[in-house]
Amino acid sequence: MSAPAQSPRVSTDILVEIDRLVKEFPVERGLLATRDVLRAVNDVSLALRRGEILGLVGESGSGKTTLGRCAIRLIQPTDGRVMFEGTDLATLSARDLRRFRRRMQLVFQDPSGSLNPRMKVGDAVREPIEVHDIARGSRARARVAELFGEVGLDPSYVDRYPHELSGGQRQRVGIARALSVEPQFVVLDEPVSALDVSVQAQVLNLLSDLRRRHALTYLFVAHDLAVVRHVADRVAVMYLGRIMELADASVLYQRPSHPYTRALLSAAPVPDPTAKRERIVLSGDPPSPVHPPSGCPFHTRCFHPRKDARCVEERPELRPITAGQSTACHYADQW
Amino acid sequence: MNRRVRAGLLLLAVLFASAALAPAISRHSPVDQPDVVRLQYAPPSWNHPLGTDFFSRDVLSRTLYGARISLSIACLSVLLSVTVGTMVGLGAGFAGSAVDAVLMRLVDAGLAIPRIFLLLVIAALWPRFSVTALILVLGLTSWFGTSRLVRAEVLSVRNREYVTASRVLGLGSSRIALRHVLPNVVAPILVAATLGVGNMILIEAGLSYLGFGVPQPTASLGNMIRDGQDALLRAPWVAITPGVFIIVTVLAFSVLSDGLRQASDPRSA
Repeated sequence: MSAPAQSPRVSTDILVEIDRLVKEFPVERGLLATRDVLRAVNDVSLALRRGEILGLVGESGSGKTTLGRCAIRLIQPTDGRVMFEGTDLATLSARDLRRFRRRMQLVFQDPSGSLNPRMKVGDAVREPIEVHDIARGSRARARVAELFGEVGLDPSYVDRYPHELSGGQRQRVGIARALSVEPQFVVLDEPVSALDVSVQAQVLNLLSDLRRRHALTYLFVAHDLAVVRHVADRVAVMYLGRIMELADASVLYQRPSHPYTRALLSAAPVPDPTAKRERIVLSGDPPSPVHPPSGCPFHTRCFHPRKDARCVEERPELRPITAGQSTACHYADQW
Repeated sequence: MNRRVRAGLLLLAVLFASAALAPAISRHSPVDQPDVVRLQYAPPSWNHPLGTDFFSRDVLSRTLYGARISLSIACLSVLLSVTVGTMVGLGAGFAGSAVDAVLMRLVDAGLAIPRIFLLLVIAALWPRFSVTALILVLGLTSWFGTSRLVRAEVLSVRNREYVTASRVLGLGSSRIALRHVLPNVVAPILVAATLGVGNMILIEAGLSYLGFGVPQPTASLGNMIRDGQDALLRAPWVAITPGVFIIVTVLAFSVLSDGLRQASDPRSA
């Protein structure tokens, strides 16, 4: 298959800038209530260019969902900033934030859980339109029908309840609802993980089309590299709350430079049975983010031939390796 | 519709209709005393199908008119109690932290006092209740349990993703509470309310029996039983008729409540 075509709309103009973001969750355990801190996101900086799709990939527990939710201030970061077109989201009052929500939206992983079971799906899409005063009454209803058409749902479905729709249809409702407020930025939180494989591709194509049509910027959270391969312009790989590698998609899939990225790529199925592939199997589970390893967070599972004491002691910073590729590995260029 | 729901509703329809149509079913007034000497404790007859009481009043009429009073009191006070309980529970569960802590300690205090004593104290301080006052007193002393129930439901519903989704969409808190949380906690409230009506009939009967409920000569199911206890052997119909009415009504409400609980459980659907 072909490499993703670079979208002409992607510019170097930054829409959302995540700056040294940290999110900690308190963890209480045992009778003596020893308080530990789980650092779900640890000092992450990431800038989303206007019009791009940035894939954010990691295993469960890597902090990718937390980062996505901090990016639209659904949860308050412990430290660091998120700038949206020059506005620091943390400075918005509750009221201003509600209004600001029009500009940034979220599509949930579980399309069933994210729709109110007692609300008709048409009403679920119409509600934000009316609350934000985009349109009212019959014009709002016309807008809902238009949105349904755009996401490939028959407008007659407006009077259905979520349980009367299939998973893929529900996810289309979730997408229509996110688009109802005409956002600029959408966080897609594993939008196809809960769907049948046959439906996944349709929804991915839909998301791609919508991006083009509405000049949207996506932060596409996924748990494996295969999902974002054909849609992302750039990909960030997260491990234990940190970004291990950030690269243009075309570069990352051809020349992954971080051992973790290599392992993830080798785990993805290749649709060519004759292809020679070297399967890298990581040993063990990811360490607990409550007690992350010293030095490089990945050193406990790393298979890099040059791995040494430096990896245990000194944490590698994310640094540019080649054009359009940054990696947090001391030996990224010494394979 | 679930079989129990249907049975409960059917039975209640009969009971409510007989109370509502009391004047059509029984020709006698519930308070007329036609002949206190000859018709005292008259056994069931053609003219008085369920006999008469000490004052020669018609027991059938008194039961039907008493049922009107008792059912109205029970339904309205449960309505009041469920409204207050739902508002408090929704507020506590949705607002969380300080509001929740204050409201729930208040509820703890309310639940710690046995309701019948609370009612007796109020009755002692305020000797003659009008029916309206009785509804207020019963309603305002019985919402504690409901608020607990609603709060627990709200706590589980408010973490559902569709509530998060509403927040992402920039909807206001009161809108989220009323449009997205409340409709999803209605089922258990309905079940509790139905059961509550049956209980309330018993409490009102108990209060009236103790002489603190509906004042004479107005009939209520409770004060009729009290009237009948002096002649339980001589004229058992005086106490048994309202007693049976209470039993059947409470039974009907609990069958309905049980059916509603079954029907609202998604696993049974």
